[in-house]
Amino acid sequence: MTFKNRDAVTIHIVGVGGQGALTVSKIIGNAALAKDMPIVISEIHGMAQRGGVVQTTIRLGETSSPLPFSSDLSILVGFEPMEAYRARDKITKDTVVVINTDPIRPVSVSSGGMTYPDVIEIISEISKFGKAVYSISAIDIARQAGDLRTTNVAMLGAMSACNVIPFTDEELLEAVRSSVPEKFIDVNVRSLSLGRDAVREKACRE
Amino acid sequence: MIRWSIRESDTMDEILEDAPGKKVLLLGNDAVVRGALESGIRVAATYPGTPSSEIGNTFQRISKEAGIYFEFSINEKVAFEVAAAAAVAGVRSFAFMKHVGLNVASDAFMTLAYTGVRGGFVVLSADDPSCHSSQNEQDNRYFAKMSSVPMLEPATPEEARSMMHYAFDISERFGMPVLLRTTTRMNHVRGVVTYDAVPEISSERVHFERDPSRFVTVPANARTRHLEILKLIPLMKEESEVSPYNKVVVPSTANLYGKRIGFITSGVAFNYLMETLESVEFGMEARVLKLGMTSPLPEEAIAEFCREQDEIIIVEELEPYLEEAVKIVCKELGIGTPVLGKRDSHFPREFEFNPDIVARGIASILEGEGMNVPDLTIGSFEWKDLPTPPRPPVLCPGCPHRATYFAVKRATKGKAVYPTDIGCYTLGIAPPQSTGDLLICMGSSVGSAGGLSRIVDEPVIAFIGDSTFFHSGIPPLINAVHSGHKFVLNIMDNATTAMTGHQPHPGLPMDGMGGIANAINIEKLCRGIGVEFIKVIDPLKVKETQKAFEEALEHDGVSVIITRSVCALLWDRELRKRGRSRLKYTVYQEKCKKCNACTKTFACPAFYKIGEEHYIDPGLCLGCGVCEQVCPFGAMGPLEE
Repeated sequence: MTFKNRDAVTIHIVGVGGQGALTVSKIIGNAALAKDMPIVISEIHGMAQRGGVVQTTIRLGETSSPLPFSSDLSILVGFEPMEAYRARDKITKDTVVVINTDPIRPVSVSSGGMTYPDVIEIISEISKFGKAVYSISAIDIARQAGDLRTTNVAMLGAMSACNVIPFTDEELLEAVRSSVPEKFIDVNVRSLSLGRDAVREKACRE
Repeated sequence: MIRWSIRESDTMDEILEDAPGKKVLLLGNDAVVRGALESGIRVAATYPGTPSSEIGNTFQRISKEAGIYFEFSINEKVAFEVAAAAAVAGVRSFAFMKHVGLNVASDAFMTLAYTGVRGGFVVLSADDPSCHSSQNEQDNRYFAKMSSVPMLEPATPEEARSMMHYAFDISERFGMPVLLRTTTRMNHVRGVVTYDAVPEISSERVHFERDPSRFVTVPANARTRHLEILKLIPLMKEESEVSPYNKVVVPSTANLYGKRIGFITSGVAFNYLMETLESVEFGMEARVLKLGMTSPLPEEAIAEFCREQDEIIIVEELEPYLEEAVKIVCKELGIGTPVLGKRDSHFPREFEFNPDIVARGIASILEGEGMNVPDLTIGSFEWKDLPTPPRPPVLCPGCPHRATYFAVKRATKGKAVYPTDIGCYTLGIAPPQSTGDLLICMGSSVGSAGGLSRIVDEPVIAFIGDSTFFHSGIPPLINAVHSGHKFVLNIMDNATTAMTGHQPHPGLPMDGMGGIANAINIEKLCRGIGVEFIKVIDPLKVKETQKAFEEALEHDGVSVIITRSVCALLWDRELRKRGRSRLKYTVYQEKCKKCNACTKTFACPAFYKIGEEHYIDPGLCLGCGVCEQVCPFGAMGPLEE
């Protein structure tokens, strides 16, 4: 049996320190504030800057708790493919999964001789159980947008294309504009729409 | 020396805006700052410690503009004393720290409870259930019980903001410091808060009204003061009985009919409990007594609540603090309602809660009573066992600590015991550095090195960071000189308090408000206390560092090696601001013998392998140049432009 808060959308972002997940949660926060939608964001940033795992949980709508039931996840966003797989226990048959396919190898792999999992296999495993899985190379999209530092906003674009997050394209666009420094607005807006288009195209083909 | 610029922080200076009614999404820690501003504080002090660190970072950014005196004190005890004295003099002040910081400040805390204060004084303790970034998960609610200091526990950022007002109010009404006990899932949660007005802060000096019979705690006065505090307890309890933060809450959906079960909870556990009661149909009539003021406890309100229920379930993280108190109340007043919680193992005593844990706890109690409960088992899928190698935090590429550890391991040839301390350099416990054998608390490396040096059969090399050395490494170093202990103390000076987010410390020429400060020179300090062997070296020069440690190991007595090199993250950030970067390094494939010395002995996170070939990721390399000195075959060096 699974338990869900009936009125809330729960987003769980996993990634590696420095990937900009915090900025994404702030953009979503501003989008929610703009339409007076209740929001609560929970972050674990203990040692993230030192290459550790970053986890952010965002809950939109009426909730009582910053942490959801483990069976209550609307969308899992893997900023890094292996971290998405590490969080697999949070996936239910109702969970949409968005994965960035660009690996960041931990030191246990680069110097410790351990094996990094096959990204294709991660995606095919997750697609067996999740409601839908979308994968993009955020680096490719950020490069197209014109700044490699916008991979996070590319992922925001991708997750916004899954019909889970309760914001229109325009609302998110406005939130990006109000959240990033003036001189980076254009490149982030490009990354947002390219990320969104990448998922929408895939969804059309399926 | 690079000039530090103030760290850009999390939120815009929207936090200073005098805009009553405005709704803002704030980190719990920033909501606390906002509450302090709205309460008109004049003095704030801290020593940085996660999960409270962002409070200080925000004060660092805004205090000048807000007209508040703020400092990053040398340690929590001093921070407490700085702020407490201002409150004794008559102005509102605020000291904040992580939970174990209150241990450091506890000497002052326990006795300030006797003297009390004249201006409002709030002490925030940021507890860390699950030890997300701490060495223990102690439950600081017992400090309130031990000291008779009133305590408040917020569940959300908005509640923390508004509780700050209340905390200053009751602090002044009772002349007592107030403990605001938070936990990580309040400090590091972002929620919507609604602003109140921010008052003008006076900059006028206050006259210190002498009252030594109250404020000088010689034994005769202390005895009188203790009696005064004991007289205050019933009055504070009366406040707790009517406190707006102690209230009965009815879940909005589910659990409206059946056995009457009353829940008593405090802090963030309330959130998980409400999520559970509003999502899972247990077939009971649930009422929740949410306690925001948890010391003194509202015993009459608790008794009344317990009398009305068929059963009481206590939902609280960590220790059975509420549970024991409720059981005493029921016992004393002859209330027969059963009280269940963690003393009978329905709820865990370790780690933070979440809705699953709370639901399972409730289910286990109801099931034991023969009730039908919903199936709470989580259907899991049969996931294929793909490798998911761990991703522990590591020393950054370019980190001078890695270079130091490399040189130390060469100097000792692996034969030494390494007491270590609290900071980034604790990450040296991981292989291949493996330079951490004993760690208890801030400053323990130096004290424990003395004990080890008298007993163990190998040399002792203790590691401590610059900020931690100032915090609590100096008295044990004096002790070592005085006692004639023989060990090497490595003060790893990266010119910042790196782990908590690059706050200044007494060794730097800047203060907590961005002004110029007097920098304390570590080597002069060591010389002043009588250390005879002192060497200052650049750890990015491996051979010199190794030699310095070899010489130090020969010295008969305590020797100090200061490895001085700026934190790689700060260095990189400052260069980037100037549009520059250090040279990148690479592997010269034709010279590489594939001996793996680089990955096996140094293991910079910028290293990676494809098959047997080694590479350096130019995106991660910060150009410290140590790999060039590590490779025995000269196969690593600067990348040709």
